[in-house]
Amino acid sequence: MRTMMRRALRGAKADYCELRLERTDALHIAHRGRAMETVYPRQQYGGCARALHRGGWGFSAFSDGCEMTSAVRRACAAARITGRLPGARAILAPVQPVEDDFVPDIAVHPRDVDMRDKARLIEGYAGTMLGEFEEIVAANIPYRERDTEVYYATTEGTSLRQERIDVGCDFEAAAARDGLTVSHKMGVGSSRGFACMLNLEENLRDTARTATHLLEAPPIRAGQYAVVCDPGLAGLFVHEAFGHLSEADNAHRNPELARTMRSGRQLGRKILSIYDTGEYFADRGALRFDDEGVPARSTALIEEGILVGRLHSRETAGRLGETPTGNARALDYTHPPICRMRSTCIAPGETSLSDMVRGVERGLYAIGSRGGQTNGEVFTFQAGYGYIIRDGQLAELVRDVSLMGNVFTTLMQIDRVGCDPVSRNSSGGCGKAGQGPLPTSGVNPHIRIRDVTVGGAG
Amino acid sequence: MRSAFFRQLPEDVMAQLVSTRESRTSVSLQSNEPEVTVDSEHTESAVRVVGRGRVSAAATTRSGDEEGAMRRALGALPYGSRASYRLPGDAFCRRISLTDESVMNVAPEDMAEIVGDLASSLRRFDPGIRVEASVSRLSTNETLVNSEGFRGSFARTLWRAHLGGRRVEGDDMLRLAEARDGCRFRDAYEDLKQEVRWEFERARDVIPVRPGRYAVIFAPAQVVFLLRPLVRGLKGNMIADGLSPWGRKLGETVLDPAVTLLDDGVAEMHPASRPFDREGVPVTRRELISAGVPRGALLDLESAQRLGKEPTGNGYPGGQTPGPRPNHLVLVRGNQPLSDLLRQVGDGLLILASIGAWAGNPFSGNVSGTISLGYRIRKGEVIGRVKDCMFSLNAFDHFGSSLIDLSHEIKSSSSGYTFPYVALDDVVISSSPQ
Repeated sequence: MRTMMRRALRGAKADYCELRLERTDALHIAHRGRAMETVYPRQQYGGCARALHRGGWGFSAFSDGCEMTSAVRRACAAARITGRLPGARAILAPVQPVEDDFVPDIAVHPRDVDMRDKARLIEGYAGTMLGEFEEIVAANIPYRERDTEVYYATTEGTSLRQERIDVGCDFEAAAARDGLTVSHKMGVGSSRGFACMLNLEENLRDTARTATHLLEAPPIRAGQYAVVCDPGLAGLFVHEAFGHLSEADNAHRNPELARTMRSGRQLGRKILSIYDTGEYFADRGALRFDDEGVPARSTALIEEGILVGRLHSRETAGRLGETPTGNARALDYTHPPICRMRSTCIAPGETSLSDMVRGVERGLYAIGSRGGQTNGEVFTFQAGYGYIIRDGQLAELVRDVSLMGNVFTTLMQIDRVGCDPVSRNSSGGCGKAGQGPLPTSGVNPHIRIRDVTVGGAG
Repeated sequence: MRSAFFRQLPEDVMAQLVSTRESRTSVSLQSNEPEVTVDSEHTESAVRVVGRGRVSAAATTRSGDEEGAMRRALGALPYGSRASYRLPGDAFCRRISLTDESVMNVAPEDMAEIVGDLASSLRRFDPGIRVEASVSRLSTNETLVNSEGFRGSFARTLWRAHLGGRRVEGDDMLRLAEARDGCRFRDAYEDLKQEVRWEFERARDVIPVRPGRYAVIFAPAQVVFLLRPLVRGLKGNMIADGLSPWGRKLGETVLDPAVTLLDDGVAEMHPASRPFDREGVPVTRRELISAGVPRGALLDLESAQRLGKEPTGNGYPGGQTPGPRPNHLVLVRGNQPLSDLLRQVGDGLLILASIGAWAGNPFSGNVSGTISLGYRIRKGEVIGRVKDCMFSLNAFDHFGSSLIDLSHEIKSSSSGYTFPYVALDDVVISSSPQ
């Protein structure tokens, strides 16, 4: 394969060209309501060529491995079109060419577990949630696995073969009573294989129990709250509120934004340090080399409240005169790589959860995450549920908790960081520029944020 | 007599094969600079087998691997979901025009020229805007055959242009974009340029908003999020599972009489139209909600069989979110122009874009979103931008008793909607201290 790729690249009429070939065996199993809904194996074989010529990019994807030469030709032709347009000035930061063959350590390989056993396990887990309480009316369990082999070669001499495993599953229990339906969910995921799917019965009983409790809970009232985020929600917060803004493809062509996100700017208090890494090899954001063949090293983003780094592709690093960080990732061969997070983490602090709660007169302990989004300046995310904090004590349960904030003011309002980091994964992932869900993760502690805007009933 | 591909099937198993081929070209510009020219092709074959009380599926992007996909689907059948429906036989599907040959004849160099024209119009308007723009063309061919005699195919073209940009002033990062798409080629976009210029112009002044309850006009793209709980309640699998709040209320008036919602999957030259769904059932135009009364459920083969009804051409199995889904939702427009609707609201908000409104609890009807592009309305005029605030409402309650009116203007998208602007009263707005 590597020889064929080298041969195809020899015909590249461009300043730079790369080929990425991918073989993915994917499996999607879903239980919905009270029955299995889908068992869906999917083979995704294909590749893409990307070329850079006179500052302009061209990209061509194809669905079959035998079209490499044609894809190189088309990508180079497309790059020449872009390169002729006024203002084209993309450049690549230099990197050392690498040759490697990376095979991760897999505890239980998904391909060694029979499809029947996976389907039965998921059906059994659905039964656990459905059988626990009579109010539970549906168990929604989407399970996804991807077993991927990627070949990557460039005209600069890089030649890589990498295997990647991605397993993720969410477990949602829906409870209904008197016309009201609520739900609660938990998730697991790993890049180390199927082991994360085992022995979950007790967690699922808790998920079902929480769903039934939410039937009694009122929607939260809108307003300003001091919010203690559990590790899952803290992970979503750091991803949405800061991680996306640290992706350098926002700033590399935008000097105004580069000034706003200048190195050395104080964005948080001294207790706040944030980093992004591909080196947590059990988590879904794990990565040995990114999709430009750059080692996925750990990157400090905020140290003691000061902005110190950002997440780069070769292009963004080249434009900003910085070093690539291994954050150029593509969802699959149908997309070019762009700056993406891997495992984004808040470094642990020294405060216990009980101390965080004790210091709050009126607030919210927000638990679990249902998703979030950012537009750069403003972020929003949804918690699974929460407890009102009154006079330093946890009080009543509330549901439908949506939080929002301005990135710059909210980072500064983090006034406590917990001493209890926890790794959180799920079946979902990050979406950006039409590429999602891309596996990402985080290892995060509890955090406390002052004055968060919470939506809900008036 | 089964066709050659299906002869390998056991007698007691039915199957279908969906083959798609897509060809895509796009030229894009980001932050005033050319970004990338894309020239890609994609093929995929998806097999679905039904029999022995179960259903399973498999897909492949490898050309010539259809029989392999069939083997894998048959291998998954013993563990597939329980099903006892039959795949449909030959059926009459309405012929719809969905292609414009000129779309695929446009040279990439000409696409680049259109992108340049879009971008320069916005740069001339305000050099401080970092412009993003793109045009893309997509050609799709889809064929569905099954072992029971159904055979259908259609082609579709999609032409899309988008224009927007980012204006950063210190920590204030305004970003907005609008798009136009359709089956037909077009190269003149004065309406798109005007709309984007208007949005930037009116966004210059930031107007503080106090928390409270406001009348709010939602742009068509936002109405998608507001209607999601209602549409979910009409899905056959939700009704069959007892999870639809409307399961026993079909035929009762539960919403404002101004709410009439259609699924129109056969509109000529609309990019969300198609002659048949992914189960070989003809797609039609039908009312889902008539003057506030939910009437029609969205039924795929499985939910139709469970509910003892006929399928409605809304079957899209095998994807990330299986189950019935609408083809092209049409919310019937109102009579008054948007300018009159603004005057009727008088004091309120206009929300053009939000983030996070897709998340939250899908069952309760609560919809919350952070306003990423919103404007303050006073005395019927748009006077400036609002920021750092979010809206919350309950779709069931607000479309029941808080609907002010629907605009006469509509917007349509290839993502499957044609909606007017919707004005709702009593929407909770929370905001950061300003």
